[in-house]
Amino acid sequence: MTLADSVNRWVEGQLEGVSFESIRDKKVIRDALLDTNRFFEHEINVIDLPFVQRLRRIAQTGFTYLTYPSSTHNRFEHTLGVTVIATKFANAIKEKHPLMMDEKTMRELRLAGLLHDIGHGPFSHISECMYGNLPDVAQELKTNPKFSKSKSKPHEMLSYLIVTSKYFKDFFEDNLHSKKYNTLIDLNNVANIIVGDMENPLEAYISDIINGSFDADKLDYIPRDCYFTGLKMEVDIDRIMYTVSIDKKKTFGRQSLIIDIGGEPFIEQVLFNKMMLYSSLYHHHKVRTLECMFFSIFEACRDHNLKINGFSFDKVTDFLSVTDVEMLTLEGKPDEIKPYIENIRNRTLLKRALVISKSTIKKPEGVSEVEAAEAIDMKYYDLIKLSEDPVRIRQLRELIVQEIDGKLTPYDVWIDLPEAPSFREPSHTVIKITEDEIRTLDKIFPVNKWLTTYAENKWKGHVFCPPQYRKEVNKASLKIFKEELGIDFNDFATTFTKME
Amino acid sequence: MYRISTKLIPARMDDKKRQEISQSIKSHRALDDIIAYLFALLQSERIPTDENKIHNAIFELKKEYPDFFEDFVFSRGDVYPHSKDLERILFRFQQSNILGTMNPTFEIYIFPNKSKKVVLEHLSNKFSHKEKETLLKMSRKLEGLLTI
Repeated sequence: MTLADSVNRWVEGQLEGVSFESIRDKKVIRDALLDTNRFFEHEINVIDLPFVQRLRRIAQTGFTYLTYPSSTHNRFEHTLGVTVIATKFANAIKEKHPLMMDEKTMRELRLAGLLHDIGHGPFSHISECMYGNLPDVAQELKTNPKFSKSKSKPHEMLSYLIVTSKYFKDFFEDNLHSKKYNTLIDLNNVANIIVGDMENPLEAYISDIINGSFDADKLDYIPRDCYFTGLKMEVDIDRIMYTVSIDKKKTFGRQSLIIDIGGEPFIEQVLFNKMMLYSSLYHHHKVRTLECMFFSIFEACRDHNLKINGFSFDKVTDFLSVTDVEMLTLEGKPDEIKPYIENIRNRTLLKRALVISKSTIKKPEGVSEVEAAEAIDMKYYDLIKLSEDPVRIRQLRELIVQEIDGKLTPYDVWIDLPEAPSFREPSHTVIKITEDEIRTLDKIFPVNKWLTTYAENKWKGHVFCPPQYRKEVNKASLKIFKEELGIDFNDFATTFTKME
Repeated sequence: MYRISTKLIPARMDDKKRQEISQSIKSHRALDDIIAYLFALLQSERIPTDENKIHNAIFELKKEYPDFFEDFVFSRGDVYPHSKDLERILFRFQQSNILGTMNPTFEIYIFPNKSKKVVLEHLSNKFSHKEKETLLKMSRKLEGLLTI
């Protein structure tokens, strides 16, 4: 069975027995950030679909709410927000290029906003790391030009497969399409917008609105994550909208969405906020700890053939079939896994046993300053390149566990080396300086390089372990890093853990 | 107190398994190693930081030497071909100081010949003699693509 077939079957299960009442008029939905907004009749029916409603039970930012208590916002709210902001983009385009944003395109864009995240699994990007590595998913992402061309993320690919599934298309035609609401929506266009790959490069600006360098997705999640965590940052969405237009000269072989030079500082503002979100939120060590603890549950299931709520999580639709709520109940969990669920439920966290950064690597003795610096550079290189190598990381964890004979499992010890945050937006954001002069943002001001330099210096990795074993794991980690990678850490690597 | 699932505590690892793991950790070749070795073979000490140029150049090299770059996936629907793997590798090169940039313009990566020598020595055992010859050819082509 192909991936598309299994997704089609999952959609069939989701829509079985679903029927709709006709919605007589548009409905108003309020949002904490975006105020009052209206949704079309057919959109209300789409919002009511089980696989859209399940987004209410998927946290927007994973486990951040266990560090920032008010960040309990979910994918559902974000989905509505993206739809509203996509409409602002569409209106801005319509004002400047009336022929390039018709009613049909507007409705397809809005539907893409509503459906762009339906491929998310429990705790959003945390489970995405896992199902993205399933062989059939990885293969499809790599070999299917629809996804490899636009470098789709796993959840985007799944959203695409759900929207283009035969069962959903038939359901949409029978229940929501022209017969009932006189809409003229082409679901293929909706799916193409979601993965950022229009068939016609002259229509690239349409998918740029949902899946581009400064898209509705980003303009919603950045202020939303700031607002609900309580981090004080602003994004001036309306100011950006005044400067949006289309590159009709096709400077990069496509009609891209562009920003007038007057909007440049406000795009930079978005990027600086994104950078702060990484250092304050996404890479916060307690947030990372919880992600590791969540991975442990799946790792243990995979290693010992255990099932959660009847699912073995060896196929992607298993991830679509559960939400955060089901994952954190004790019901349906094997006894071996229950302690790990309870640790998360009770917020009993793993703690730092070692801090990994360039400044925690020990200088070699008896050599010149320059030689010492070069040696540290290469040791650090060997270490951080493991950040995308789960096999070697797991092996190192197993070796550390062996040092503390018979007391811990590999699921209790984590080496967390966060992936580098991506700041590619400036090199893909097209800025109009004059009618004849169009450049990418990084050619005007290298904001991506500034952000990258900041992130490089802020970056920290950790070894996490149960609090009652910090000293043992610290000692074992120092030994294993020395033996396997030839890396000696200085005293700061331990002091920074605040274990004393 | 943090709870440990005692039922999942592994058995003592035997020496053979221990050695296998150790060997795997020490001998593994990462994508980073390929790019680092390639850059270290460039004759120029200056590499443009322009993402468009670098990503395009590796994209072109992948066409000619697909075996080396099999795991690099490039998006092509955007302003220029872009590889997330390559983006992260370049980030790590700067993190570990293999590549340096000059404030405040950040236009050029500096990769001094002395550092190149250190990198080539450090990674020497990751490549066969034949692979090294291919990498040398690739570096000449890369030099042209980056128009240093």
